[in-house]
Amino acid sequence: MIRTFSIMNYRSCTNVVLDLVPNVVAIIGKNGAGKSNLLKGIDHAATIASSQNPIDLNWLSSNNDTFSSSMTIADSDGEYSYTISSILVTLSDSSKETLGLHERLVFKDHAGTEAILIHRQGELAEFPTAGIAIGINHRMPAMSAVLSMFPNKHEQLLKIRRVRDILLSVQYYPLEEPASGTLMIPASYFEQWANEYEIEGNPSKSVLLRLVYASQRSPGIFDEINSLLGDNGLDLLKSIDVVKVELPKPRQSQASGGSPDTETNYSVFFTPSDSLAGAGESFQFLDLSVGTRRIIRLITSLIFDKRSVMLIEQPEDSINLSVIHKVLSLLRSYSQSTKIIFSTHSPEILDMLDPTEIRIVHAVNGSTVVHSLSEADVEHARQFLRSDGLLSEYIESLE
Amino acid sequence: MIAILAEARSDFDTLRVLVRRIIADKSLTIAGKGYTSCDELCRKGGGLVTSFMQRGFSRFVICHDSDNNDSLAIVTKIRNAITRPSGSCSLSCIIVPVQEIEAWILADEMAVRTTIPTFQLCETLHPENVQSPKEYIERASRSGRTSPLYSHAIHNPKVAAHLDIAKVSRKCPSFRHLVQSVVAWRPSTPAPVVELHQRWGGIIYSPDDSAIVRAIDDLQYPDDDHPSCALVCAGAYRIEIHHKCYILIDLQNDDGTRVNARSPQYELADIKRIVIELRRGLRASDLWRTWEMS
Repeated sequence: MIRTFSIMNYRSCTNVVLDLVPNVVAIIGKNGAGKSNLLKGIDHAATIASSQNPIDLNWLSSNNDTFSSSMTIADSDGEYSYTISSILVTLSDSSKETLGLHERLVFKDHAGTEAILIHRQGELAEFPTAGIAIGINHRMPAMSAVLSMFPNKHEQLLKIRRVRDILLSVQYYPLEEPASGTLMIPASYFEQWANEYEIEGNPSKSVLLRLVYASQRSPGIFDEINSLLGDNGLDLLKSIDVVKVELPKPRQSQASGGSPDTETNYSVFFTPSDSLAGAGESFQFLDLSVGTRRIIRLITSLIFDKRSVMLIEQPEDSINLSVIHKVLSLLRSYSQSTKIIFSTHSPEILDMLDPTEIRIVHAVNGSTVVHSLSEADVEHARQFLRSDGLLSEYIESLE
Repeated sequence: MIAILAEARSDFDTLRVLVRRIIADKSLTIAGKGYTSCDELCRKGGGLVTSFMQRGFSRFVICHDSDNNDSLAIVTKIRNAITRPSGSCSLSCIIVPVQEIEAWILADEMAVRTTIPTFQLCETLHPENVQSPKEYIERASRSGRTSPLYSHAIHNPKVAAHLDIAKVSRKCPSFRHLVQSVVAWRPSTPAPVVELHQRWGGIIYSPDDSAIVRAIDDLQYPDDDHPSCALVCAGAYRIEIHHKCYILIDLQNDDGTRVNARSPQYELADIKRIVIELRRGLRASDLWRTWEMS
């Protein structure tokens, strides 16, 4: 699990340090303070560090300055400290160019003994504990580079793989609605995507594609999603049904050979709970309410994607208070394996949290600044809760 | 109409299911609120009870976890903070789950399995001895990798719908108190004391003082077939009528201590008078004095 995170020169986050020790962390602050930039910054840094392909160095920093990010990650063996920064040079015409990456990964066991797992400067990458020093593409992050060169699970590289996989599994979830969506998924398209997914392990953003996959190839996950959304869970849906539909092929496909005139498509139907409007009828995804779609999207992402970190934008949007209370409890149940970091404007959600789980975001001179409640603040907040108030009221009083 | 006040929303959701099942009346209005903490419950509960009373609610279930604290002290705290200021002492049933309401969930592992078939929760003989039952269940769910994981806000009310009331009553005295109190609120609850006596194995529970006063009119003296019986009103006081011997009054003082008093003789009129006095808000210590005087 990621325990601390810092980032420099990414959008409004010119120098942000974030304590992520709790399994559930709420990012709060006014509109425009930089909450989304912070969530995207975590995703950005993790994506770069774990990328399995060369990255665009111009993409590192949005303000053409030296990009840098650090994080500590704890597991049962000890703690890892990872730092990545860009190597920036100023050219004769005063313009700046990023020439490569500097990376460092250090492991510290519970006894406090440190070992440098990666030391990378430009194209030279050393992996001291594995006894490896290699030249790598200046745009290729070191962890994936060495793992792709020595894929036979070199014992000393397992730790690097562990860190890479945790960072690879960090995902930003804006939970935004697509302007339009495909409701029919051709079986041929599904098979192609599913095979790629099983090799690369990167889930689609399409909630329907993930539900079709779960129903066809991972019934345990499909049942879990159904259970959480169904009568024994949030009581939103009576069932999710994935059906196969034979549809005529497009004309161009028909003319290309002697294949059948029809092709199989998958379609997903949602039947609302008996206590809700529309009970007894089945609906396609886009016919459901915005809030119901968001909950389905959130639960599917949580259960199907199995991320190490979920970065969620305002989970409360369009969702009834009594339901969001249950959703937050649900996220907390799964937070042992998936760290939940979310932005929120909801006082009711704040009231469900512990003071130590709050991170407050401000904009100072155009830059985003983040801070936790100090120990004294936490104690004052607890006193306030014991006597006369709510956490949201206490937080409001700080501003 | 019954109102439920609990320290957490999930507790309210769970109690609503349970009270509905116990009262066995689908048409009865059950409303209430789950707060965000026990402090908020104590701070705001009295005002809400008053509001409910103005809206015609006549029964209240108030639930506060014991969380390692003395249950009687919590009953006193609730009484001082909520029922006494709102004048609802005789209308309220104060429930103090030991340690948390999840102890009731833990008491019936089969109900959990019915809700989450992949969750093979082990039987717990004494769930109220488990230090943090909520954490215990959720940890068992995680270590057993159940699908889905147990989440109290979602699953407690679902499990409540399947709980074996008798089984949980046997294992959890705090739950038994809820059952006995709510059963006594059933419109169809038989008034004759002897019938109640037989149903509850020697002890009659009723938080409804007026029902007890009515029942006293029909009271049959304990006899050899029914050697003793007792009336329990609102959990704060208890009057036992023992076979041809004495009446035992067991009361809780404002400070949480209990007072016992025995009378060598009694008349039914004495019991009726005491109940009426208690209903008027007579304190335990005053009643004790009244009893001595009589």
